[in-house]
Amino acid sequence: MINRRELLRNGLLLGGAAAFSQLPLRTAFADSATMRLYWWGTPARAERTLGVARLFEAANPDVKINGEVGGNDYWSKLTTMLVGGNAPDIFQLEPGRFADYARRNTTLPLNDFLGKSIRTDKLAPGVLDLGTVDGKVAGMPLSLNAFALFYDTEAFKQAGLNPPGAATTWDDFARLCVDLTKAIDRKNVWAVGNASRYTYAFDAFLNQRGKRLYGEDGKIGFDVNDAKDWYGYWENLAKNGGCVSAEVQSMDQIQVDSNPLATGKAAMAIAFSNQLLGYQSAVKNPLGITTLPVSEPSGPSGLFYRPGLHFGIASTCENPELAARFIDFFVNDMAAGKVLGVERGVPVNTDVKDAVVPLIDDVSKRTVDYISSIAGRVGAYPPPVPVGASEFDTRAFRPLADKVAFGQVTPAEAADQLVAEGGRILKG
Amino acid sequence: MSITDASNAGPPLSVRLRSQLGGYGFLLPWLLGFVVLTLGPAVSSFYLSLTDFGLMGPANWVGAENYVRIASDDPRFWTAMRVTFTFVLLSVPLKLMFALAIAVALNKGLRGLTVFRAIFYLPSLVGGSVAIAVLWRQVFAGDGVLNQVLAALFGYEGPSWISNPSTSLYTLVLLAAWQFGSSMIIFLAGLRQIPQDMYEAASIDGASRSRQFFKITLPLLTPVIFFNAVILTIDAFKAFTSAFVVSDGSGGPIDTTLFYTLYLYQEAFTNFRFGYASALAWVLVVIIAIFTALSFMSAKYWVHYDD
Repeated sequence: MINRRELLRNGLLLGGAAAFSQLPLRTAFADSATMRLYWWGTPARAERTLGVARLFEAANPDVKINGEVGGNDYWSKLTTMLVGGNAPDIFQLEPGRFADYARRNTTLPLNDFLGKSIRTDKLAPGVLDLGTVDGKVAGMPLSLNAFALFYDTEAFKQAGLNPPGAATTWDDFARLCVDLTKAIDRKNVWAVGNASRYTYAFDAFLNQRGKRLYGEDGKIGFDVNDAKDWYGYWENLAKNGGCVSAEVQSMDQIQVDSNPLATGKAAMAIAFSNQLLGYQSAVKNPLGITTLPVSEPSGPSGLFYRPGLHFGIASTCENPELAARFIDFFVNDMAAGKVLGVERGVPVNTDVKDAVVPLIDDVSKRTVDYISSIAGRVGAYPPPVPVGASEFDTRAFRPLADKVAFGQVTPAEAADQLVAEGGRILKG
Repeated sequence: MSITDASNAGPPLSVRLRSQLGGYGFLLPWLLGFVVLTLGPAVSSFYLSLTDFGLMGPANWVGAENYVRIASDDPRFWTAMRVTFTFVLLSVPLKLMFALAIAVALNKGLRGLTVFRAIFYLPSLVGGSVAIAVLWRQVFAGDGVLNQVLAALFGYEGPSWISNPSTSLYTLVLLAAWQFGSSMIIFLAGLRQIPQDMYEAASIDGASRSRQFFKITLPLLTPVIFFNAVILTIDAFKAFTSAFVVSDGSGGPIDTTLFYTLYLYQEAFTNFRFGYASALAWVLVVIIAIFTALSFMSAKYWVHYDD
């Protein structure tokens, strides 16, 4: 017999238990041979990633890999799963947020697996440093890329203009953008997206001045004048009609498919070298790839080799040994490397890279050539991003860029606010 | 033993229990859902609101600190409040007026009433969905359907309504007002309750149509208006989906569609401050409670009950 009081009490207990979802209720149901893998990206990436998962399953018949693909919602879904205690065993991260997540104890340090389950002897020199946070390897760099400028070769040909190159300064670039926009002469099409809201473009701009977006101390690595110059440059360019309108700009979610180049509203984009594949599948005309504009023709390029993406093992993963073996397979296996190609960037395993490069298509080859071509011009990799980097980007840097574009604040006011917000969000 | 022996206290306990058990049995699915899915998380969210719970770390007790920060040191909280109150104060009256106007029109007893009723109700069925919000984005985009129509008909070059800070919120108000169906159905039912002989008596006395509306229809409908207003206000405070989808979760352009719920969501899921977000949620509960209480207190001045 059940009575009301007992029912109520049991119900409350149950409710309380469900509410405290940090308690891993799922433990009892977990199957050790099933692993969840989570990433974001284009359908082409999904095909390649799942291809590797199938290869791994074939090599390990008792293992099942469940792939999950995210889109715009990737970060909030990942956060929901992490906080709910049901994080995927392996998830993809990128340098702009990698250390922010790692420093919140979401990933398991890989140090215990290195040289054992994860072979490191064929990795390009310095690769593991790109995944190191506070002295521990918090995630595995999967590939190398660099900032890059993509341009529609056909648009330049038709306009009779020379595309930008290694010596193009920011001032040259501004003039070029205005001329190109005029030459294209189509409503709602401009030369380039408004890159004032891309932290990585700002980072390159700062590197050329010998500064950084985030300093070694975990605080902002620039001052009010740098920010003012940056916001001012793009405000001017927008005023002169060289880059997209504020309305178009604010719709860009900083993904390949929302970038004005991909949506047909611009002829150039400031992005990451490996994304050439994604952009090329969205744009009909052949795309060229070159370095970002520079402050001085002979000055530093502002570029550095960076991990295209990382794989992290969730700190809650129940079979980290298996997860580590998968990461090893993903990075070091020759067959896996051939499936992946250079879609995420140039492979970090030098043997795999040498074997893959002759096989890849023309577009992929352009990204690899680009990476080799800048070898003499790259600088050092910046320190891992601080805790709060993702908030600084989405809640301060981007909104202020939009406010400037919509004419609600001047570049000087935006710069003051950015530095103040940086001090508030990034505690160092 | 004295309980089973209570011959003068109705049927024995086991019989009473059995008859009650049926009732509880029927109640159980709801009760379980309420306790497990609503009450449990609500209680735990209150606890979390007094902690600094982040992404993975333990929840450290911080007392009222989160609430103090909301009140004293959070400009975006006030932005979100302004956006939300604008949305509530515009969308609720609009929706009420739409619903009442259509209900009065449909109540004329025209042919095919059920068909029209269904058509007008349709937006409410689909309107809260993600698909409609996506559609809304398409319609009000710079090169969207609305601007194409405006250009074709009037040669007017419209802005991108959803990404322009001065119009973005109003497109969401419009989307909300468009979903007037449920209130309309309730108004229709209310209109049917008004005795016809009142109108007959009024027309014999020479009262015009509009006079009849303001002197008979509206006063007798006030309980239904009141009900709809309270429900719509609570719903409007909780609005989330449309703003989330239309702005891709950013509340943009530049925070002009930063609904309170969206801000709360961002604090939790992009800024990893679950404790703070829980506190924000409880502040919203209090705001809604105050508004509802105010409505009920005002009711005695304008709501006309027949009995």
